[in-house]
Amino acid sequence: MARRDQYQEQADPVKIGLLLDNPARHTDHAERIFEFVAEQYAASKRFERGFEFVKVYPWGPPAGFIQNTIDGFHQLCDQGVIAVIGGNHADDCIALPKHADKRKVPFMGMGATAQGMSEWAFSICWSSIPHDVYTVASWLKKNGHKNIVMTWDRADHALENILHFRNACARAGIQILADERFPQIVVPNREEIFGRAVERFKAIKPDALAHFGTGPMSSHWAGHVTRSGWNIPRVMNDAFHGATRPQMAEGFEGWVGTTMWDDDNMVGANFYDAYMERCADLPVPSHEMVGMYRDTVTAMIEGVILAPILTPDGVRRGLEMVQMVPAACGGPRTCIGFSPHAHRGLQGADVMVLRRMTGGKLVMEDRIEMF
Amino acid sequence: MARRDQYQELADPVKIGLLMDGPAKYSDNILRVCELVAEQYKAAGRFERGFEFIPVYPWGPPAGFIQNTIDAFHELCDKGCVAVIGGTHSDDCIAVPPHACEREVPFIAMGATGDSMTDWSFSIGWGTIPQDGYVMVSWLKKNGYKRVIATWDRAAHAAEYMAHFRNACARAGIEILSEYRFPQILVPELDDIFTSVTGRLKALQPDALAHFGTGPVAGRWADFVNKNWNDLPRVMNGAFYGAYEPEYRAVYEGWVGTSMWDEDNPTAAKFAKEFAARYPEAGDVPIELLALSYDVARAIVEGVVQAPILTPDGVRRGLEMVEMIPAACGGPRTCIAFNPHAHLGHLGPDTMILRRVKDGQNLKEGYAELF
Repeated sequence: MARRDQYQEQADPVKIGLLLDNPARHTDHAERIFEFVAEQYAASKRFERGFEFVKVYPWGPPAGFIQNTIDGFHQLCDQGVIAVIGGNHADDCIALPKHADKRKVPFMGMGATAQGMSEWAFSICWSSIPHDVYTVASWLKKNGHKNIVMTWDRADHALENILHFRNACARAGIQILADERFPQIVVPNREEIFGRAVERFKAIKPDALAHFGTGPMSSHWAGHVTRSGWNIPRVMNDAFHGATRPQMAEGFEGWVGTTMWDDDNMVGANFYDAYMERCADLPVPSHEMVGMYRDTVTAMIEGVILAPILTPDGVRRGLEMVQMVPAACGGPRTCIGFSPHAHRGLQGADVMVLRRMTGGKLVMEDRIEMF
Repeated sequence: MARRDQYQELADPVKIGLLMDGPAKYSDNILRVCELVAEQYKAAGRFERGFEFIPVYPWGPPAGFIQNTIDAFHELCDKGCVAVIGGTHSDDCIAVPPHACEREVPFIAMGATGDSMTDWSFSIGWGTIPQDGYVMVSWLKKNGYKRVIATWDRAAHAAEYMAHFRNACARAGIEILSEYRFPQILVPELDDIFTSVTGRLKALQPDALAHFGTGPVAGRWADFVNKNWNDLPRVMNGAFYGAYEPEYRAVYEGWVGTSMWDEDNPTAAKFAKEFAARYPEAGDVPIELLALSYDVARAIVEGVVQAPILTPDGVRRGLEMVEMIPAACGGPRTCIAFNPHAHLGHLGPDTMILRRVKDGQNLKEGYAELF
């Protein structure tokens, strides 16, 4: 076979692994968005070499197991990728960093957890648990709801929500009267479980209900509360994303929830419009999801551009130089940056904002009032 | 000696070390702010035990040596402090973290560097080097200055400024025509150096000058440029702090610079009033210094409040649960938070804003426009 000439041929693209641990209704958009942003960078002439996205689709949580996602990560590393983006599920993002450290391949987790960062693991999160919780507490405080009940589920990162929420309530002077931890996965007797919880809570006469969900149980719980006629002020973490699904929207009527979709963020709005021109063949995506995937791949590409050398370690160091990138997620003063031992990408008070489902529409409710 | 009863006596206060490596006009006020914030927490009933702040005053850089600051850090550890805050000089903040890791005592560095964070080191910076360069480039870009010159000095963290500034210029399409690195410390031949540099740089006919200073040379250079090249648009990093003090302000006339002082930040405005009422003898303390000291004091106190156990490791874990504290530094949407492997405290694009000295007044110029 004839030897090839590395100095004369066109350069190979940089291989980035995509750990797509979510259903196709999310990841089909992720793939399109990543390609779109890479094209935009190619057009801007800021990175000549280009990118090749190498994909795996593990059957991960909540229905599958985390080990499948871990195996998917190692499979990507074995294929020579110099960095990995994903997954979205926060429990995956808690489990993977030790593997990224072992393989010394930078990993950009997209889960809401703040427990997914390490020497080799970065975070551009789909919602942010600490922001979520304090934004929920701010809404309760502002509306004078001082005695509340809360519900959550059995995911590991649901507990992370609760740890922060207890701290936030202590700081805000809010009392948690009672709580109920639901199954993480959809179970046949869920309506029975929900019914018991509502009756128990009603007897306590709380001012409001706060829910911290991580999966499909949240939409069912939202619907149960709404249909039960229990007219309690109610607020939810970013499991509120379920309200963007047409078949679930009705159940969220009257709920307030956190989201990364802020009408005033023009980076997010402009990117969404540009992307929608390209994906007319796919089901309409949520603004939040589009913004989150755009921010993640933008951060990764900026990190590759700033990498002093195109190795995994070079990309890690490049990522740690990324600064002040305007974010599509959150309020208009949200930005993306990393530094050594500062791997939380989305920065600012408005990473999460509040929306409300009213009359079948998701409208802006408020932003956090820090306390 | 009679044995004492730990279960009946009043509890000892928590010992926090203050590594005061700056002159008295800084450190005296930092200590006052810490005492006031501790009093406020006690009055709010959020931490009954109270605090004892133990200061040390090493003869550190730029005139002294970093080793003196390192020795003082160990002295504080030997005294049983569960955490140390300070110093304010960035080169100290780069050098101390390995010692914090060795001693396993949490350290909140107050220098502008983004290179001070480790497993045991956190950052609430006086200025922020990674963002400073981008805020200045935003101003250059907005004003159409595409061909610029840069000056800096020989401090280690001055190189950090330049690394980020070069990246920011590349992203913004700004060309750095030339640059010059001044001595870090005052030297007798400073004016000769300035004259030589100015002659060389003038020949390039730049659109603007960007200066990255770390000490007293910045004020001398500002003055020299005003007297010898005052029609050149000029912008400076956080060394612009000198422009707060009326006796030094004149040398900054016509300069734009970055600052953590934003009169629209309600947290800073409120605390400045409280400080003036509590310490009338302190006089007119720069709000930037008060804001920085407040943010550090509040972060360490919150970290202790959240600590699961009152050991250095407990305080480290407590700090990693601090979330969404409204910051006194920067714009009104700046907040403070830490997480595991996310030890950068100030979060948001407005940690540094732009100010200008005009007709002897230090005025707000604006915020960064992210690009």
